[in-house]
Amino acid sequence: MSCLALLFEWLDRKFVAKLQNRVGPKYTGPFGMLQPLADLVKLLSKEDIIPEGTKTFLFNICPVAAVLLLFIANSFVPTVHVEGVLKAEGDLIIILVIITLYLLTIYMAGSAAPSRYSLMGAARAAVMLLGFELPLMFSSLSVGFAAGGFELSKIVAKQFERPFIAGPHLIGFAIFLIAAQAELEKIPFDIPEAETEIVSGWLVELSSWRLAFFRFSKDLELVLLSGLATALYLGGPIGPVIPGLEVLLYPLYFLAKSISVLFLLSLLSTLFARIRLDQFIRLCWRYLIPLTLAYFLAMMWVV
Amino acid sequence: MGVYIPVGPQHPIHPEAILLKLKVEGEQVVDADVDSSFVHRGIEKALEHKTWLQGLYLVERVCGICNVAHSTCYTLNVENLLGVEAPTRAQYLRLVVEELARIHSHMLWLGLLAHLIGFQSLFMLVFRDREKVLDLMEELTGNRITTAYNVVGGVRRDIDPALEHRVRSTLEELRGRVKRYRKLIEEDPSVRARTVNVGILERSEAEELHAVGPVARASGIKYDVRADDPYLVHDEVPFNVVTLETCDAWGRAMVRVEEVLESIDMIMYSLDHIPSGPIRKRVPPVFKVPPGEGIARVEAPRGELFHYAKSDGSERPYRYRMRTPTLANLAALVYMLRRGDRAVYVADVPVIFGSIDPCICCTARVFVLDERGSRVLNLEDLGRSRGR
Amino acid sequence: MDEERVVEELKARLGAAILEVKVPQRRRVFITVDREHYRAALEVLREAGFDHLVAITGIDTGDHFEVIAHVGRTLVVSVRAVVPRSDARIPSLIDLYKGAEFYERETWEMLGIVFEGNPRLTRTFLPENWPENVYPLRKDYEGG
Repeated sequence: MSCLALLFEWLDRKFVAKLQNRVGPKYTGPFGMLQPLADLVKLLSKEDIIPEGTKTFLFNICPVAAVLLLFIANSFVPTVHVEGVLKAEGDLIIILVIITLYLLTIYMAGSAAPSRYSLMGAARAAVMLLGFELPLMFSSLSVGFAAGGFELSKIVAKQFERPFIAGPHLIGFAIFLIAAQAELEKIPFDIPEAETEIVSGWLVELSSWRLAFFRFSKDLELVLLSGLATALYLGGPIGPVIPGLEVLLYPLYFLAKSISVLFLLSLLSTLFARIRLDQFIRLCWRYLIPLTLAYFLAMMWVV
Repeated sequence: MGVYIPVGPQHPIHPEAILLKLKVEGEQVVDADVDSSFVHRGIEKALEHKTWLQGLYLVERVCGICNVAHSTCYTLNVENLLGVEAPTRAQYLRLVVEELARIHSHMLWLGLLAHLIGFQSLFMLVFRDREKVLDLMEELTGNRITTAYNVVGGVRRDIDPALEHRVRSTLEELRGRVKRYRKLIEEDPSVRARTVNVGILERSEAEELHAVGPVARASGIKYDVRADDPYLVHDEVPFNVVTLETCDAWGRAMVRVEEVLESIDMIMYSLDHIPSGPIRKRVPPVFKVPPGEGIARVEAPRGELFHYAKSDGSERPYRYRMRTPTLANLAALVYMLRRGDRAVYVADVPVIFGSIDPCICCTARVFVLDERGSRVLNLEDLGRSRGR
Repeated sequence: MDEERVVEELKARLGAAILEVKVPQRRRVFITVDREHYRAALEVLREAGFDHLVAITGIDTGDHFEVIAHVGRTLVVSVRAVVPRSDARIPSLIDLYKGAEFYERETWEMLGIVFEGNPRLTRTFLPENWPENVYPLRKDYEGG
């Protein structure tokens, strides 16, 4: 899973670089594939700085919690089989709860530091939650209703004949992508980090292993959300197989599908400028949330 | 109630040292002030200790990006005091280089604007195109940025037909690219969302605060030194003064992009109509300037640049005063940030700050303090302490 | 408006207050007035449509200071006022030309000429640990 996270970061960076007419990571490992790992190791070896006036407990616990939470959430995502590594009744809901908890760690880490920039970043992250959480939840839950259960294995199994995206769930998929983009704090929704406004926001006082952990958790989240989108709309790891070769082909299908989702997310981030917080909230409440609710009600109706 | 947020002296908004003191309530700015004392270098004083010729090279180093404007202004001033006029061919060449500098400055600005609003893709593309202009600059003058092209009495290098051809083809290519950027700024919803109605400066306010350059022109003031007070062959080369009435950051972006297109046309026209002849009148390296005083004004990429020179008949200036466009726009900037009648969000600050195309090293020019803070050094001292 | 008409107009309005008129170049007019008529001269110019203050220059000539206000867009009229060293004060232009704020602040910091009426004569160009009452652009200051 960690390898996957680092691979995804590399793919993201490389793809965006290609779109922007740059080269991207190049020197570490084949095609620069080890660059994310090298970055991580470098950060771990950096001097550890805790600014004066920091709430140290929160400051230390949040990065660890963030990574742990996402590891757990990722374990539920089906990758090599119809079921994930972990399986539980209603695991879709567990994942959604974890995503919210993860944002809480961001908020707490940001507000634990005394810097005004990081405080503003944390506040912005919290306000953004109001905008994109409902679309994220309802677009996922609608799929659950349509599949008749909130277990990812059930949802995936439902898509044996054809993935949901081929049907009326295209709107849901689009909503999910936009919300995921906001959740990942990628352009145009990188408002809590906004380098040119508040100097990377809630991240500003983090250094050394804390920064490394949070950056790594962002990669894990990238895997989680593209994996989740794959499971919910693209049929997870299943696809046409020669009997007996499922073990080999399923992971490949999963990779291909989730990487396509990743590319869609990267593409979105190169197309726009960062919008303002108030504009983001307006966008969410005026267009995204009504659309989500309509979609949700339609799914309920059908079921 | 409110929280003070320091923006600078080190902040990703701007690579130069300036401190904006913002008072913020939630996401809104309620008060602002500027402190630009961090990079004072003592150039006006140092000029009084240099000969007129040495001064030229010091003046070029006031600012990297607008060095052509500064050296043009300086040479015009000195030539005027000496009673020398540069040959017509030299004036055409000066105009070509000045407009190339304007193109590269405006494209740098456009890239920075994209960066400020988080549009990384546009930033990368614009900077790649700007490289081509810098390459032309290098071929034409020998240097990419600090060109050292103007000398008292003319210019240093001539242009040959092969290079002329390269300039034409590169600019032709650039014209297409810039038109695409113009379309993008006009239409892209996220760029519009961040710049339209941001940093409002009404026409009357711009006049009152003596705004210059694209800031004034985006507020509908038709003021361009090239048209109002031609200093090179501007009465022979046709061009339009681009003005817009939108009075906001978006208008400033559009004015600059349109000016790039105008500049390309001006260069093409100049290359078509450049007369043959000498490019330089020889002036001895150490010369005395007759007593007197003079003013030269140049339309730098950022706006009207003003130089005042006073000579007492020796080989050194008695007093040399520079008023850079950013200093003129500083009052407008502070006004835009602290105006009470419209909400200014923290996210707007980089856009507003960026929209005047600030150049802090131009604005602050005077002194260097040593580390103990007790003794004051001027440039001569600094040179000595480095063992020159 | 050309150079001659501006000079005529100024002479008609200010009369003997104008001590010297020079037109060294095209579109450049230098007039010298005494300190008492500095504001009056600029008021006349402002009324005549010179609404753009280009800059304010301060000069130390050795035995006195000179303050020059440059106004105008096409034609630059420079109004020079002589300020004695012992009493380095001059009225501010901030109510006539709002944008004069930063130019006056700079001249004050560099030469120590007080612009009476400018509400914000505070440090903005010199570092905060710069010694008081040391004015770098005065001729008797030699950096050290």
